[in-house]
Amino acid sequence: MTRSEEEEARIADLLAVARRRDREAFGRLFDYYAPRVKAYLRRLGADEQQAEELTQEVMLAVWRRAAQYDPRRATPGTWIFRIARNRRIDALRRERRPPEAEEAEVEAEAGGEEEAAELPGAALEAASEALLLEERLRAAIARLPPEQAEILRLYYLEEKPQGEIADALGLPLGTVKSRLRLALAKLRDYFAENKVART
Amino acid sequence: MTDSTDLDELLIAHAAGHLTEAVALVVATHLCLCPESRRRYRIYEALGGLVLDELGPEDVGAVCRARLFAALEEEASDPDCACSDPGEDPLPLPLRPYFSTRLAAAGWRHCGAFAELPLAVGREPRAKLRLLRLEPGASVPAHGHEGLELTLVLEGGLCDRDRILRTGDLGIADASIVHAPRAETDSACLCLMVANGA
Repeated sequence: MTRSEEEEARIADLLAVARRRDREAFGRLFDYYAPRVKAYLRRLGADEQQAEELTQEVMLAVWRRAAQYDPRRATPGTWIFRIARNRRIDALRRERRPPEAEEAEVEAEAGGEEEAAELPGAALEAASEALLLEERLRAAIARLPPEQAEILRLYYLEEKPQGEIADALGLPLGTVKSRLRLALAKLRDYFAENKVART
Repeated sequence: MTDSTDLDELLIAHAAGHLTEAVALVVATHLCLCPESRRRYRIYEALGGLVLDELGPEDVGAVCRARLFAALEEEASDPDCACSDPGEDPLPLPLRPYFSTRLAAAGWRHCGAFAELPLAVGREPRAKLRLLRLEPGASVPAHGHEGLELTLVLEGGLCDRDRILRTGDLGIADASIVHAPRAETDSACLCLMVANGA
């Protein structure tokens, strides 16, 4: 399967969990995401046992909240990343993450409510927007100088990102800061030139 | 707006989960009010998804998997999220758990033409979060900062140096800036500020 076919299969699995409580589909999602969520939590300071417990909690939240997954707004990876990130803030930093208005709610409040797509086919089609964003993001990152792409990636995986990246790469802090800012400016320019349909 | 890259740095830090709770609250509220920042923030959350996707997987014990599947038996799905009624509360959603019950309550400190309501949030003792209400034309006394100061306008307009911030706009001032933001003359201004919290 190509990368985008695999991604579509995961979207279908997550929707199957949402609609039919499909345990086989959940099993496939678990086998793909749980080891990645665990790696993410380990990178951010959880010890082995804590990482396993938290991974279990994150995956249980995936099962429970699957009905809230909206394929238009996010790929399964992005959606599960959010759950893992928030769980980490709760458990490891002992702070709350302020509630975030989902895009749909913000729009509903602004008066532009839409029904979520119901049919599997329609849902996959709706997902094309989130998939397109991801594809553009991959393309944008591929155009960055490798050292800037590396800093962007590491930024998500360190507790005190800029200082720890500087230590890990043996760079002055100022260099890390300026590379991050350069990368952000380039991403912004790239997306300004290649707009994703819905904003 | 402020230097665009300053704002992007805040947005990516929020997406990656690096902000303290007080600063995260200001950024989440800004996102609620600003479609352009939401569009950029979506990119940074998608980047989080890509990073997760590309991480070298770590073995998860078979026991962990089995225990989770056993737990699923007892799990019903969550009822659709218990969202509060959007029409009723005047505050943007992220602020509601923090301020709703306190807006009308005591705790406002009045200092002439402005009043402030401080709020302790999160574990970072230096992060001073407060709501600030300025009468029309009133200004905050000139001040500098040790660190970052964020000012989010919730109602009205705020003149800050050479800019006018309107509802949803986020002012970002760093340690190098001394300023005395002033409400526009025709209406009162309500804003959410956090200082030294980055």
